[in-house]
Amino acid sequence: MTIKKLHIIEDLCSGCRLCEMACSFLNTKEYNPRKSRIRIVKVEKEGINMPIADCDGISCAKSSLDEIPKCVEICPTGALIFAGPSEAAKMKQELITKRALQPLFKLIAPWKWPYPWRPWPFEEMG
Amino acid sequence: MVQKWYGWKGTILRIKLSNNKVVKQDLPRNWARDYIGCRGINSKILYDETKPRMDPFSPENKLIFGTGPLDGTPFGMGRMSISTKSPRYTLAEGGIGGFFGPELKFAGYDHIVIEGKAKKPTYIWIDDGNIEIRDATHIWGKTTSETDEIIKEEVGDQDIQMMYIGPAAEKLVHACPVISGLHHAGCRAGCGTVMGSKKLKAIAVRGSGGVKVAQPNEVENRYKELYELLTTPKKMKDPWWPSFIFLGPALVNRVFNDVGTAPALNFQRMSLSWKDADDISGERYLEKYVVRPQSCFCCTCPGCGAWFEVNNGPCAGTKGAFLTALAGTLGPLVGVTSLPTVLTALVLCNQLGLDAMHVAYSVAWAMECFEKGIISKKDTDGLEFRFGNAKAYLEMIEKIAYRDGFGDILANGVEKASEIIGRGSERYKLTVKGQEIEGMPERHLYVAALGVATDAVGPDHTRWYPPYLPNPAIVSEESLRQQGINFDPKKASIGRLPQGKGRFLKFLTDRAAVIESIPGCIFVYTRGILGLNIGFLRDILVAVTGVDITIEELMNVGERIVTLERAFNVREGFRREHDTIPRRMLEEPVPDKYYGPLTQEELNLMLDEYYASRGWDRKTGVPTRKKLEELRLKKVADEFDKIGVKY
Repeated sequence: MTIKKLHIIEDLCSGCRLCEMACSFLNTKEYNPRKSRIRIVKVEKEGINMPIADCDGISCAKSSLDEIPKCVEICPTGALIFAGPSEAAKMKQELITKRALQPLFKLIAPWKWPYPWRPWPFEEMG
Repeated sequence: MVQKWYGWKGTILRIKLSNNKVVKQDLPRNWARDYIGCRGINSKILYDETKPRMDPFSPENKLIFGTGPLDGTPFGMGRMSISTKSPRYTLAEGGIGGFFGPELKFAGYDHIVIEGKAKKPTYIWIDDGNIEIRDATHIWGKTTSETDEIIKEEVGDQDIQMMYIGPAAEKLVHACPVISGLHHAGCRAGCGTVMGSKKLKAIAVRGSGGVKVAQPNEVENRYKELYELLTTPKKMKDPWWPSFIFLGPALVNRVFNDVGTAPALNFQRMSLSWKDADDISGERYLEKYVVRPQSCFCCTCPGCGAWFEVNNGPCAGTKGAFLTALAGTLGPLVGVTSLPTVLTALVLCNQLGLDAMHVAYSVAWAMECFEKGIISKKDTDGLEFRFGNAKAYLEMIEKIAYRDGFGDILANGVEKASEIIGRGSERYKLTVKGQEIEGMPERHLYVAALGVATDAVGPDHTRWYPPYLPNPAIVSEESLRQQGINFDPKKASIGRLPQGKGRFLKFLTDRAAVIESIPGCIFVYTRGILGLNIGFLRDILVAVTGVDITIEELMNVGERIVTLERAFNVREGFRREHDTIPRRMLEEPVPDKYYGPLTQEELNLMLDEYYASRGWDRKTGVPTRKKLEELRLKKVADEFDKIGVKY
């Protein structure tokens, strides 16, 4: 049996700190980044965002309905993934190969929002 | 028993720079209800505590940084508002994103009010309850990135959040913004300039508290709903949304060109060639220069502020973030259609603390004057100031910031510069109330023209954005009525029809005032189904703060804020005749696309309707006593009588 755990793809992190918010809210019912087990380290001059997790996500996943940790569920770009070792490797490979074909994947992981996200029925557009 | 605050922190921090005093004041509960926070309370404080006709650079002027109840929660997206009295004597208010607002909330404050004037350069260090006013003589004159580095080193923490000004604001250049986190700029109406006049270089903050909410379970559900909307374009029902997520506001560059609204060569042309449009488009930007995502606090749009790098060519080594819609302004307006030059200009502006719009419009104006023979090489320090001269353009940015040579004239803003130069150059200035306009298509979308003309700050599209409505069929009629939509939304959305635009703009400005007071990102909460559903925002506000408020009351708050801001300007002497658009839009037709100008008669028609819908006097544009009393602003009406404002 493969054990799934939290993996981080630093290149995809937009530094929005939603994961910090979700983690602290889950545990304390208030928004406080100091009480989160994941934090994002920033180097603003170089535009680098590095999520650093003091957690493997396993206990959090067990308590949630979909069996994924809160931070992974909420990450808008797919920088956080919850997978076994071989699956994580495959996802990272997929990202790099698809990136070469489609510049959109510089901003978002292919598995986060299904591509193509367009078109959808015109009538529903409003 | 003291009631607990949820959402708000309940503290206003007053810092008196003249005698280094710090006072903590409780946030009055009735303010929180009547003005909510952020822009609303900022305007309230500014109106109450400043005197009419006071010199904006005097110690009596106040500089207010405001956050709102949703700041520090994922709903707020890090927006905050900065207000002051601008050097042009109008109100100056502007939003800014990033991470400063939430950090300020975590430190335990809702608003910071800066009063007085420091004797020598200073910066403020807020570490939760400890506030220090420190010497900044050694940072004075440094660029924003150097300032960032030095203060972080001094404090000994790399994770603090800061607001600072660049060297341009120290030299009191017209319309400087405040810069935060290197790439976010806020309040282009001159808050940075006033901050410079107060000799305040930076504010640094670190907070270790959190933001408590009233109904945690409800908040969780609400956020799930919002997240679902934001990340599923199909549910958002806004045709712009998917491209916005990935390209950010830069998406408009190509679209604007296609419909003939891309301002080029100081608005002499409204479209580019296909090749030029391609070169400057958001798609090219994403393909060639974007490296990784970057966003404001808790925002789900990875592309809006994407990190870019230029690796080859003459501009190699340029890196930064948050291009926003400036590509269309910084480039084609001065005849430059190469993205690397645009990106370099943007980074330079952020480094020096300059407003990119001010720079672009000043240079474009000077270039047109140069080509028309009004100014010559003698005036421009020997620079060949023709459209498309990227080298002269980049050189001039630094000259403006340091007030060097010809830059000293342009640093006063286009309006003052044209007064200095004279010789008929006033004809080509594109300003309203002394502030440079933005890349908005006044002659195509009449509501944009009306917004530009009537706003208290001057031309600022974020105060009524966007100039269109989604299909109203996506919400019920009951809901439309509650939000005060008493016009035909379909007719109002027709670009060049003056009828109905006044009431339409009233809705847009009220809504923007509500969103900016709560606060939320104006580019998110106005989209698609969110934009026509203030009820959704109301539910969030109720869940976070526990204050029960109806949709009607919320829209009323918006109206109150807009009217109070108008009253601020009225007190300074601004009347109907100041609500106008640049002469070029009133007289010259749109080239290429065969639209006529927006005539004065059409503008008058729209102004009449706008004032009528707001309950302002038609002849002067002054809010009437009846309306003011209705909005519980009786004190304002009394003050008008005292200082002799005529209706």
